[in-house]
Amino acid sequence: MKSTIKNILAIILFSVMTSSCVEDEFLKETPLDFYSTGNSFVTYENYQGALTDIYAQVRNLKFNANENGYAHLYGTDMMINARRTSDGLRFGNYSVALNPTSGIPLYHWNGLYKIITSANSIIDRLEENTVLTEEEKKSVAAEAHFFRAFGYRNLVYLFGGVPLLLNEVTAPTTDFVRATKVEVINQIVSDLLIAKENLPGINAVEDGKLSNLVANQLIAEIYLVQEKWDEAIAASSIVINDPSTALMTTRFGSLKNQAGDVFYDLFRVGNQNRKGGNTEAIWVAQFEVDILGGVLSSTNLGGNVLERVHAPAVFTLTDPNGKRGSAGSLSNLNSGGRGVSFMRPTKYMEQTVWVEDFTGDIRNSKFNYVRDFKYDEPSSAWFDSSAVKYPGPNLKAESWRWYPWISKVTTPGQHPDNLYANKATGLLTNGAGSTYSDQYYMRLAETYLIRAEAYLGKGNLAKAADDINMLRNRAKAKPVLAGEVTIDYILDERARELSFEEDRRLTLARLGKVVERVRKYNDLNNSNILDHHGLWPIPAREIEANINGKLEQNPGY
Amino acid sequence: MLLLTSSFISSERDNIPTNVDNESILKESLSLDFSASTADFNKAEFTVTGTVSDDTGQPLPGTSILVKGTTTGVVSDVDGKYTIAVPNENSVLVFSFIGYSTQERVVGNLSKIDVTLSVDASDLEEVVVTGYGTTKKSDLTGSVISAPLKNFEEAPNTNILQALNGTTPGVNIGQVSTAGSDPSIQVRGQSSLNGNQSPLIVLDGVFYRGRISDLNPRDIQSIDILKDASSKAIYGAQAANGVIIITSKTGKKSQKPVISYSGFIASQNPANELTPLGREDYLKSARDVDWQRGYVAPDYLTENPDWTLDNNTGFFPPLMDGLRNGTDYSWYDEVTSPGYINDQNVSIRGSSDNTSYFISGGYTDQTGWMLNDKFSRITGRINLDTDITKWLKIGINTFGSFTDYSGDSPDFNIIPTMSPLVTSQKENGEYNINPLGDFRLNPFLQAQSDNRDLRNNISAILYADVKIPFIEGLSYRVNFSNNYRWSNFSTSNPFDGGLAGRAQKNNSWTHDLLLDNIVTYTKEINSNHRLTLTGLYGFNKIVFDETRAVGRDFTNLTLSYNSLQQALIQRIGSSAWEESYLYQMGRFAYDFKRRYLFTATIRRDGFSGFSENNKFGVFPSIGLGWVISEESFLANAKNIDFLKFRASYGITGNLTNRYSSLARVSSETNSQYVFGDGASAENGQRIVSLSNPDLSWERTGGVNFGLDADLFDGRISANLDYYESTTTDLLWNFVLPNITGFSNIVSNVGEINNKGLELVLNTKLIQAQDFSWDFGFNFSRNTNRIDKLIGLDRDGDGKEDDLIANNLFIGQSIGTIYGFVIDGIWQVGDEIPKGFEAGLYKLKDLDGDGNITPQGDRQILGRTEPAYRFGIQNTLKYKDFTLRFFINSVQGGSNSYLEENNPWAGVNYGTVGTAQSSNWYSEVDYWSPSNPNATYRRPGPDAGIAGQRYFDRSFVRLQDISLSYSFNSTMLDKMGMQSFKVFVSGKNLLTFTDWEGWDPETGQGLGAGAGQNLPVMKGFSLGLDVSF
Repeated sequence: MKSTIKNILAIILFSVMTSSCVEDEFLKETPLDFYSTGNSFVTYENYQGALTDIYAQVRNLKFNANENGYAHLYGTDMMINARRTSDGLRFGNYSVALNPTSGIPLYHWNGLYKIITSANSIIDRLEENTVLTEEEKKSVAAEAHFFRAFGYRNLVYLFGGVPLLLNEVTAPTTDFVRATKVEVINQIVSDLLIAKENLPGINAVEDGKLSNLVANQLIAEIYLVQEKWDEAIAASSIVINDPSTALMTTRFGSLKNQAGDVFYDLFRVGNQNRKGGNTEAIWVAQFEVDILGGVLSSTNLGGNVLERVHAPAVFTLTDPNGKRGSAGSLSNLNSGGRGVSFMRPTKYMEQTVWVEDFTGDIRNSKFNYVRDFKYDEPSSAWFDSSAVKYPGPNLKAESWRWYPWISKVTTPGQHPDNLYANKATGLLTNGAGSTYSDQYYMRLAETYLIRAEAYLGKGNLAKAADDINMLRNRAKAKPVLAGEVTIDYILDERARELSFEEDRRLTLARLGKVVERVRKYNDLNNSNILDHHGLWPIPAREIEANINGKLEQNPGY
Repeated sequence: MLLLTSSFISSERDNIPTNVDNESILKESLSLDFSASTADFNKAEFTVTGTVSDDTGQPLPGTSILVKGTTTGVVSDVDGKYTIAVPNENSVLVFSFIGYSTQERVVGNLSKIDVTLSVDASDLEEVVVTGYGTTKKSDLTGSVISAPLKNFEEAPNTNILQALNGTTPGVNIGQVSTAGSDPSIQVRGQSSLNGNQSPLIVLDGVFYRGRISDLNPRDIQSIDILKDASSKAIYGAQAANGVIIITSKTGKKSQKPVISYSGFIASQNPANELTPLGREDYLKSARDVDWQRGYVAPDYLTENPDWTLDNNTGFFPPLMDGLRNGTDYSWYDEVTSPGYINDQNVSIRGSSDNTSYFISGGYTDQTGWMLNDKFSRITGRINLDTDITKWLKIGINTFGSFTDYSGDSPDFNIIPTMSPLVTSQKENGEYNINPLGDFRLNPFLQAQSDNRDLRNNISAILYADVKIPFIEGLSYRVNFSNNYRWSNFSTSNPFDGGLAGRAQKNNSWTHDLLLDNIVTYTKEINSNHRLTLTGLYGFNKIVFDETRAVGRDFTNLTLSYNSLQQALIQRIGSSAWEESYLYQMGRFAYDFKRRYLFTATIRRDGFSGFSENNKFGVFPSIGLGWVISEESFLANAKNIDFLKFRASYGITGNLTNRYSSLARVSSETNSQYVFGDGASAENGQRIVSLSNPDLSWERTGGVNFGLDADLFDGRISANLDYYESTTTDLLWNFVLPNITGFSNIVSNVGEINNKGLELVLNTKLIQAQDFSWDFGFNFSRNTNRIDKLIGLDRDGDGKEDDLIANNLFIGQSIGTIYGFVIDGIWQVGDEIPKGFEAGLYKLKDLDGDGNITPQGDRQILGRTEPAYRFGIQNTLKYKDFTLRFFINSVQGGSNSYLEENNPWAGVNYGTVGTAQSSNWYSEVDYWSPSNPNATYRRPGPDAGIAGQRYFDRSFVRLQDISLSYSFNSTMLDKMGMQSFKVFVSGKNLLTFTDWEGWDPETGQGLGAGAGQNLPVMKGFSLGLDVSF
């Protein structure tokens, strides 16, 4: 019997041994429907793909239906939560919006570090790559360095000094410490220097892509932080003096034959890209409708929902008789598309900044700043009368239902066909609310204001006024006198020119003026903003997950 | 003639040769007359006839019938019939059959006595499937439990696992709430953090990865669950969460064909009802939400006349219209109606010559309580085996299951939030697209989908048993299994895709291929030593493939999802994966005189999903058994029929998920970008996970000590198990700072300890002639404790630090709840810190620094795991009636079995305006100035730093109750039937709990957005079982 057992054991053992060589082959794991890092950073196209993803990340971070991207507008000196409730997402209350567990700081922190780490992967892997030519490597690296700088720039403004991570993470890392603000700023500069040297000229790139002008504009802004005024002037001058750039001064683009003005034209559908004849655009976030990678859909809310957020909910208005006063959400300048009144301008934005030239400044024209609503419900006894003059009872009771609003956020008459419930009347479906135009990240107008800030820093007020007046002249507004130029004046000019374009919170944070300006101009948040809210809290999750290092929390949290 | 002696019949424990030639018994099962030996009885003897059948109504041939106190006996024939001569009316007949409980009947003046023997759950002769072989229960060294399926035959269960809920200690089955869904299964607590939590399912000897709901419960013969590490180790790297072995019915040898029909219809209604607010309460709540303005300061108890529903609410125009029209519409009533289950089954079972067969067909049609919650299933099974030669047997187990989940239900999370001021349809019958006037669609529109959801499963296990010639006891078995599952999900809805119409078609299939070679050698030496050797070599490969196509923007959707090319916007996608397993196993089982038992196994497992550096794992186990009752010192212990002590140790594993060790680069639409107007998309790529080349399986080592006892002539049987296991190298999505670009990495960390106690007690309380009462009780308790994590000790106190970001705490259970302590609700007039308002939860300032911070003010609040569970089974029989009821309970003790109950879990309540436009359940006791002592905070925006309330889910539930009536053989003979049983039963009829909300067992509370699951159903059913 023993021999039998031996035989059996021998057979089993034999079968195990003979098969062990094929075992590894049998158990080899090959992914079928995704790539792994090993095979996806080889060709130039691979690297282009990695960069394309960062473009998408940058766009999604700022323009997102979840409204987190609009944290740079809500609760500033320009915009407030129209409903005045305490919810955190819309900065009704600073203590709710900004605390270590709240969603907004984490959203931006995560998104920005994902941009940075994606850039790190490209930069690191490029060094070992032997397939790309040196030229290709340079151009890829230039874009990656820019995006890394962009990520740290937002982080340093919002949080102060943050951990500086400059290489791809390939193993679990949990020992981060915060760098100083100066270290972060220096890193941004060195990245941008690489970017600005190696990025192509603006005419050599497709719309939406980075050019050397983009890098120059951003580095100019960083030089302002460093108070390197000459460097800031030099970098911004490269942008301004580029023969391919100029402010738009005459009507152009898709609606040039309709009533309007050139400032209105800047924000109409199809008018943002250089291919559309716009020489003012430096860097534009690209949106397309119903195309993969275009984010916008003709059938769903998505992408950029500023129309929904900012335009007032006219469809709720009753006429003075208490009857329905609005025909619904119409795609025109009276109605403003499908707005729901979440974000309204502060008194400062609505009135104060316009006071000096309320009627002359085309940025405050009836096309660009809509200051009345005419009852448009045909059955209303008040049809075509002004809601401002004759407010209905529910507008009197709830001021959020309507307020003067800025037309940049909507596309009157230019909504995609599918969104019309009735094309003849312009009635939109309730699924409207996205903004169907491309969006400026950088526009030459801002470059002038950056340079003006540098001249102001240098004490050259005349030159500062000249730059500001480039914009005011185009806007047919009274020129500013050199003696009137202050940093607050430049902030006012930014409000007039760049509303819904600049990330207002970042500008204020760069200047250390968040708390001061909110207290001064924001009648909702002035009571709840606290001294420490100028900087955002490091997310508690990050502090807790960083088990082998210590991330100091910002004071006050 | 076969002589039967009383000692033979009564000696159940004795080693009855199981290979008794049945045929010889049956052929000669004529009435045996031993009248000569009973001549001294006074009265003239007479003859009793009858039929012996089992619980299912099938005849039991070979049952021995003995006149008590004599040696007179007969055995039943092939139809279960018998004839016996008894001495007088006082005679008692004893009916016994191996594996069934013995019954005694007083003859009285009856000439016909029909007996139904039920399977004896405690019977030690019961064969238990242990994986790659079977063993007698009495020979087990590990902890294996067989599910008492018999007790739940009358329950309206469409999934076989429902019969295990609460009835098998150590096996926790979740509730099913949607039609045709599979419940969750957990064996002996949670031993994994992020790894797979489900046990391995083995069906007819091979891995089964389909849905359990694909199996017809009526086709299942038995379910055995391997619980302890040594039993499980036979399945190595996949076994850490337990192994559930399901065996389908087969034909019985030497049985004439039995045609059976069984069927039931059952009602389906929620076990508990919640109702959304009606108009009046709803309108009051709109003011409560905006209480700072809706009521007058300072105490906010008087309504503010300046605040009107007309002007001050966030109501959009349709709600305003409804407000003026006096609309009071119940969305909820519109989409719910009593559901039902219709279940019909036919089977044929029997054998001819060398071939035995089981063939069945089943049909289940379930319509849930929620609109379009539907499930139908058609199953067919053919199990055949045939002896080709003396040394070769081949067989096949096949089934096909064709399930239909078609029908799109309105979202149960939205329905209760719909305002009663607006209606689903206009007066002309058209749907209101956006009833609330915002972008949210009417939830009924979803139910208008033309939806097809077919999931099919076909399987064939071919096997051959070869008795190797010339070597006595050596046999070889090969299992070749192919399981093919495919599904088609197609849907189209004219209202979807922003009203432009959307249609979609997904096709996917999975092919699961397995080959097992099993060699078994058994040897018995002078009947003292018995030895069984088992060797296994096998592989398993699974391939998945899916194609998806979506079209949006249709001008005409008449052709539904069958003409996607008509869509203006077309999207396609596909995915695929593969998994391979390779394994060897050896087992050595030995016993000495059936008194000392020894089992040892070793398994080597390879899996493609293991990382490069860890492709194989080895998993050993050992088990010991000592049958104390076989010892001479217990030979005279009359009341101890059987007593065994078991001890075992083993190591098992839990697999990593496929591809989880690789760094993934995804190329999804959110990485795409379009440069320039009118250009086409450029693809992007994004690194989405870190690689971990050292990633390894979880390893669980555990001991089990058990005691099995049969006492008082089988009146009491008890099994007691104590176990303790330690899982190391836990698979964990280790939380990383997002600074790295990744939120976590799948890693092996730490150590978890699980220990527990399980008790099964079955008693036959009463066994009278016409009345019997069986009482069963089971109890289980499991606790888990995290012993080690990553060895971090930053504060240098010599004790490892908790990983708070991971919610892992040293010395605590996995389900630890860590959070802010809620200390009531802030009231009007309180001095309220920044970031809080009256009506919001008051969080305790634990560190007393005057600030509420996540660092300083959170603590352990309790845990989600229960403290203990118990089940009580009662079976009462009176004549031909049987009443069964089963009580199931899960208990939390002091701070266990807690669950968050957040009525405002849905996003709809986040702002004042949306909260006003949304409805909730009238059962929600929410805060308002006039209701300061409410349980829950006010609706609307929460504080920046928010806490949640947790409540105990403990419950006691009358889970199953049934009453059945089986016709006796006199009536059956008249009808020409073998059995006829009618029954009524009820499921989940009563639940006792303090939990507020839908159901404690599912943890569904008062929140509308608390989960997709529908409520737990209660049902009454009426059924019939007949066989010919």
